[in-house]
Amino acid sequence: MSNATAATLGGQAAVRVEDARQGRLHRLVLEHHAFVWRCLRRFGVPAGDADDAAQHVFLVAAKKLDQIPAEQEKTFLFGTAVRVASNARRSSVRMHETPWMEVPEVPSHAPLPDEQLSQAERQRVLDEILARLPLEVRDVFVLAELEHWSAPDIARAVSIPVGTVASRLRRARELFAGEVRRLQARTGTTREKRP
Amino acid sequence: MSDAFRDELGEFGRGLLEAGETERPSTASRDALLAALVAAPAATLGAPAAAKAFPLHAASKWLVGGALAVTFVAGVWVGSHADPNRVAPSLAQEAPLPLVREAPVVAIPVHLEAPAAPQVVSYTYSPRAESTATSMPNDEPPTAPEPSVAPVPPTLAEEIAAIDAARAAVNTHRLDEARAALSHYEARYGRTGTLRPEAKLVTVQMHLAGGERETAAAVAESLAQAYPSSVAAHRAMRLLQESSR
Repeated sequence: MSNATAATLGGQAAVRVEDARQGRLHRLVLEHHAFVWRCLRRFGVPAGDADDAAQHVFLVAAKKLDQIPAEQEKTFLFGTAVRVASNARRSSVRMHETPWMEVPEVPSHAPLPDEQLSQAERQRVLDEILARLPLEVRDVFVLAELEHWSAPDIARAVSIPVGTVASRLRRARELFAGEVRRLQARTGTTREKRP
Repeated sequence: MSDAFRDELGEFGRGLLEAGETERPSTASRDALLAALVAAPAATLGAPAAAKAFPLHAASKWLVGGALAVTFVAGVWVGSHADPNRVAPSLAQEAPLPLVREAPVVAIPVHLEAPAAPQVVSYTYSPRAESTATSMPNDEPPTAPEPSVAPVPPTLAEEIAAIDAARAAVNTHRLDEARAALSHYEARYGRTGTLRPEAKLVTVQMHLAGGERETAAAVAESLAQAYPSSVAAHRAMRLLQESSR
């Protein structure tokens, strides 16, 4: 085989590898973009910034693609999304001295529970409640209740034992239910004062 | 256990959780991200620098869409003209290509410039294992993408177009067109397609839109068996549950 032929074959192989890599990256985006975007939103990134933050997550994934085992793609994306959201929050606080997810004692435009809320209002209230949960239980809650991950999958993603997942989820549910009840009670009071 | 928790929450609390479950980004933002990944070979860029070079904030999304349009148009043209023996993908010719239609052609020359003041620049993201992430100077303009050599695997681009066409047809209740697009997808990619779960999901949506709930359930069941951990399977089952309420 001549050197020229070997170089040509080597070049073709490199093109195939790059094509496969691009194919995997595209599949990652198509399969997990919505999941990553939702995670960013649930961890405090405003809707207007979530697209950019999601791009950041996938660029990190692209850079490390060869190191991500196929069975851990979603876990990797989740961990990266949590870090990107966390850093973005800190950055926002430094720049504007007001956090993205500033949680008022009573939500400023708290809706009445029995009113017909729009989807966007529900999402806003959900994020306000989630922002009140400690981070270590929030990620378990989001993965279990909103993304329907199994306990073993959550344990791998968060690097904690399955038993700890169960205890954190129990705690998160108590806190979440308490916040919902509190919001209902307060807004119910507000409603009575209205004409 | 989770059902008991949701019962405890009541209708208001359940509504909050459902709002979180169903919130999704726009298809346009996903397509813009795909275009950005095509335009920016991320393996050669530090992530923050790449994010700065190709932000997706509102002012620049249409520019990225333009780049994607060039990529797709060039791909279809090359596929149908460069090699007379090659059969150009019929879906690319017959079915609507939303990305091409939606992207403004005038964006083509503009996307060579680095957009100003991208919001993502403010990120100080520095994960522990990302020590080399800022290897590209922040003020270095992005390399101009070459549409004709964009490394999108042709079949994947065709798959995306096929699924998007089918989904658009379902969303506008053009069910015959959706059925034709999905049949074409099945015939062409049924065994090897990367997006088979997505195609099944759109099939479920199509049957539900047509009132064929039993057929939808059968497809969803096969989807769940073939791809039990996929988002598409989970979503299909949820759509079925919602349709039965």
